[in-house]
Amino acid sequence: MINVNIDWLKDYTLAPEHLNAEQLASDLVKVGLEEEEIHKGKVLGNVVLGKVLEIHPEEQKNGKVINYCRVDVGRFNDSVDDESKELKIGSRGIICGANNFKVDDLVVVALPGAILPGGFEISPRRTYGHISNGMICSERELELGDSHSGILIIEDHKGLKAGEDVKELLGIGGEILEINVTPDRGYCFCYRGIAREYAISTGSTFKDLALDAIRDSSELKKAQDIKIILDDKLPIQQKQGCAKFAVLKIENLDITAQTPKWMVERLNSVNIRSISLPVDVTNYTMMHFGTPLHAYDFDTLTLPIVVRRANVGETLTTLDGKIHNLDPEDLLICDSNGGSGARAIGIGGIMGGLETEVTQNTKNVLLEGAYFDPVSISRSARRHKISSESSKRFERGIDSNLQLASIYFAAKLLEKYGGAKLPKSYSDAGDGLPSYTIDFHYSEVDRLLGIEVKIDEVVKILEEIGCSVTKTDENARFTVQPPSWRPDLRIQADLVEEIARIYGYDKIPSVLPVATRAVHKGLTKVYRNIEMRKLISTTLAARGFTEVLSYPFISEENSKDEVSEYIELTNPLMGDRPFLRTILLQTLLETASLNIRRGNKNLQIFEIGSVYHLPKDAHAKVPKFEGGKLPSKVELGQIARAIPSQPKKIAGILVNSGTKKEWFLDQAPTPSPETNWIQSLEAAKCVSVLSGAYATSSLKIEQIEPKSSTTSAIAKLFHPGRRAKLLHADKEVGIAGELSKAVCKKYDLPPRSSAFEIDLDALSRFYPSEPLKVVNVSTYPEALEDFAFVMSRDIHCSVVTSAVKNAISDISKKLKVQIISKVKVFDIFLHEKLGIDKKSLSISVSLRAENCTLHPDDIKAFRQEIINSVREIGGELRS
Amino acid sequence: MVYKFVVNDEELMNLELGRRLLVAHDIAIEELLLCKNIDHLHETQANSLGSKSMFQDIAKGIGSLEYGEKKIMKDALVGARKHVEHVHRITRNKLIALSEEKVMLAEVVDVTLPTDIHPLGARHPLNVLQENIAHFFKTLGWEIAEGPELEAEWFNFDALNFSTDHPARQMQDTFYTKRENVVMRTHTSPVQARSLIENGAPLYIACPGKVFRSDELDATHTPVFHQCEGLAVDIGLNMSNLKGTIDAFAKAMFGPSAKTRLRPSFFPFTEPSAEMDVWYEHKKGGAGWIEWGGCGMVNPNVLKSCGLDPDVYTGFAFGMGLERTLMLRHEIQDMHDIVEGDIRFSRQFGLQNLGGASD
Repeated sequence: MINVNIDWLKDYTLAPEHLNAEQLASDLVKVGLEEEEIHKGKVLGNVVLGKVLEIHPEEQKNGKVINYCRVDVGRFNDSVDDESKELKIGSRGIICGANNFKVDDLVVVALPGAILPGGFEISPRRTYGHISNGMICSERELELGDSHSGILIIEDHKGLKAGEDVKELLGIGGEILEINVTPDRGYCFCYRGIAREYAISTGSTFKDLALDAIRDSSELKKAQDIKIILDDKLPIQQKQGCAKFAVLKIENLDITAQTPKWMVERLNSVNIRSISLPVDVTNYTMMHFGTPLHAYDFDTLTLPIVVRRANVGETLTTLDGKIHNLDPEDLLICDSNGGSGARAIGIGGIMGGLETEVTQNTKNVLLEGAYFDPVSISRSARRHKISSESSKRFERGIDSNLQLASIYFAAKLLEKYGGAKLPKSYSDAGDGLPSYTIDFHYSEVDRLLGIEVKIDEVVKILEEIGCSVTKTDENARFTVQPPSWRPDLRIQADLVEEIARIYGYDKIPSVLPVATRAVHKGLTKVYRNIEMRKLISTTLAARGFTEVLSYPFISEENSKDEVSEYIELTNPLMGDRPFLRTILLQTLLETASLNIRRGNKNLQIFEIGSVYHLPKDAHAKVPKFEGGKLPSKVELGQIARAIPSQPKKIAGILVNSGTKKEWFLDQAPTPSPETNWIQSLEAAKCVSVLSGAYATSSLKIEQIEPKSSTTSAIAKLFHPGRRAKLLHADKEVGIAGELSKAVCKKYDLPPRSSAFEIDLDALSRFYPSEPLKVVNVSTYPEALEDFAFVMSRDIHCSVVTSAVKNAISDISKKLKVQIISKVKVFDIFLHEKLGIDKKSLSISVSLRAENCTLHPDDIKAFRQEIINSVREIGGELRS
Repeated sequence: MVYKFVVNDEELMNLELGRRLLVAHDIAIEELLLCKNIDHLHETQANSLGSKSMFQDIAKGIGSLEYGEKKIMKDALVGARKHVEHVHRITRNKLIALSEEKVMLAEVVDVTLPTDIHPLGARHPLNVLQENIAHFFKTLGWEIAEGPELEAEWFNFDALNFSTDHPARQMQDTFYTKRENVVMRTHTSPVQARSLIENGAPLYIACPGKVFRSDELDATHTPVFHQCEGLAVDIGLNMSNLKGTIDAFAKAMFGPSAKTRLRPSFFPFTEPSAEMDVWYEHKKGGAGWIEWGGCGMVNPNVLKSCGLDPDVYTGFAFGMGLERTLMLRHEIQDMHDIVEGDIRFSRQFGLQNLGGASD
């Protein structure tokens, strides 16, 4: 996020001479500036200072002159030349094509093994009849600049000797620490802020250059000769878009003046490219104090300067050449070309306009230092999708007291390096930000942290971070005024955090609280649901299912059915998947498909996850409120009604490719593709029963008729003749059966793949609220009666069994005995001799009285009534 | 069974019928002992005990004896028969056992063949981890809470002190929906606000769940992931209680040697805020600190959003990514394995047991 150049840091604080990036990272993390990355230098290995001893120009066949040089590289010198002759003075032979250097010049030599920018590795090579044992580098090869003028000649070697590493001297090789600045600490987006934190963390001194800059700028007279009008007619959240706008006119700048090398290097180290002296100086000042500045070509401006909101339909071409359609909430800097405030010359705090930018022809510059409201900036930056160095700082809140000091600091640099005339006066507008104080109770420290920090220590820490602390009359109460660069400090807790982080989080003891005061609610519904899901998942896993997860995003193609309406994402990650699933199988099928493609041929998978539907009232809107206060019951109700419904479902898919080979196939029952639908129903029933609706008798399975007119989207995934709905207390809770042929084909699943999907939320509502009641275990003998009925094939088994059960219940009422019965279809027989549309169902009935032995006559009565009852629904006892 | 049969009784030897009885007994026993299989035994049964038995003749002879002799012979005959019967029974059992053994020897199977008639499936470790976490917090007396994945912006942001224009809100990589003010929740923290509003304080809750951010899937990121949030609001809670809770939780997740350390950080919904690192003994490449999540004291504005007085109540909150926890615990190299749904990933974990301290 921001690179920390140790050399720059030393402007403010006495960092140890050999401070490395790693140590710096560990110093800064203590106070909350986290390491993002330590960047390795672009230049690695031995890149050393060399002194040119000899130059032998040698003309080549192509007419080109190549220099064979002997260069002194100190401890890296060879003792023999490339013809193995002993050398009197140690040196290295290097071939060089450039001609801009002479004997005794100091140059940069990259020795074999060194790596230059772009990963270019130096190795000895035989060329032009010599061995070139290294490379004499140009500025460009070291990425120090674009100079084509040949190799880099070191003028100021700062006491370095031949053979010594020059990477630090050139500012190219060192590791550089990049830190992460949390959004509350905008003041650490500059060296002044980082250095203060470094000093606090290490106990080192801190010299605030900004104070010097303020003192310097106090010499300026307030002339107000450049008229500035702050005219914000549309303040956002009652805050003026611009609280301060200060300008300095810089005259007679030599626009051809070069930015000094050290400044270019410093800017490079923080990833800012050198552009021109005035732009570099504003960026450099911003990196010092966190105050973004802007430089206008003064002679392109028509005064007065007006700061106002944009008009509807207004546009601005920013200096990157892009045309922006402006919004009435955008805060503009305007000049009066075409009338007072008529022409926009920049989106305040975000980017300047093209027409007034500093160019090669600029002579006079207007420097702007302003304070813009963070909210206004943040909205404009988002609206125009510009995240500039400037907007990043303004939206986090900059120091509101450094506007004039910053532009004067910049002006002095322009005087020094650009020959400009230093201004004697300034103009400004706006009152800056009002100061505020925090009423601070010392006891908050202990209340929030659970540690006692001595009162003197607390005051010391607050002062160290820049607060002014005043003791009030009352004991242990303070009035704290946060410094102008810390707009994040608003409430007592903010101050406690400062105390904690500087005193040391590691001094906070570890005390596990006892939750005895909590209202224990026993087995809450949520926990019961977690337990239920666990039981279901574990049971399915024990039955051979593997649990998987899938993303809830689905494509347009998969959502193309008119039955459901979908929730659509505004910014889908996967552009082709903007919708959220309404059926868990929509995404689980893709998971099955992926497994098949990867060769997992036989699958039983399941997933528990949410699906997303429009709320009942599809037009209900979720209202927007401010945070910080509890919405009313009515408002909370509005949210609840408008939030999409998101039931938790469980879905499973069974794939049996029929390819499973087992040595026991003919000896043990093994599932086959044909029995897949049976298993899907079995699994679905298992889930339903485990879900807490223990009373299995309330679970019903119904056929979804092939030509049913009310077929749901999910039912359409299934084979029309092989799908069942599951009902609990007559409420539909799920579906199971064989997948349709089209679905199997679409997802590359083998034929007869089956699936189920069940609404766990709906099922959990059937969890019995009272303890289950059970019947006594009867010890009286069981009467077993078998029947075979012939009937039309389209009569469902469930119809027959309920006819049988009705008969049993009728007779037991008549006989006044409590009967425990079991009715089970154990065979289906299809044969042409029965008739082609007929089937024979074999049913076994077990009858047992709760408190007596059934008399043979009673059993006869049951038998007769069962036969009668089945006859009524069209079944004849098979003779 | 106890019976009396005196072979060397002189009285018996003195009787002709007695001597015959002794001979008959000895022959019967010998025949039984010579039986090699159960069929043979059936054949000999008639000779030794059945109708062809010499005992039959002897029994017939007893009628003509004197009273005293009759008594001796009767007892002797009963005794002899019983003895023969006894030996017969033993012989039969022995022969049956022998024949069964022979049959079974012929029925040898190879028990090292695979017997996968009902192969087991497997759980996804992320869900098992969430269950283990819920279980851990329940043992602390905390409740488990859940909330919707499509969430009102107010719960996801505003209630948690993320104002509309705060950079932190922009940094969340939120999935927005075409329904106004409805987002896919970017963290499990909205459950904090929902639970506080519903239950008030004191409140101790843990909320494991699924969250969403618009990060592309790569080896370490996924747009759909899981977090566990913890929140305690009560009178008198402070940061040392936060430390105590996450220390205990870290031990449950990473073993008894685990400990945590806090680093200053920023979250809108906590103040003071901290990043937490955990010391993990079994870290790949050697024990060390790993980044685990964020935490802090609940920001007074959050308490106010939920209708609580921050001068009365304090609270702490913490949250961590579960994919990260899982990857660290099980040395999973690539996020793709966790999210793609390839059964070969889940199947390595079996039904419940993740190993380590979380079980």
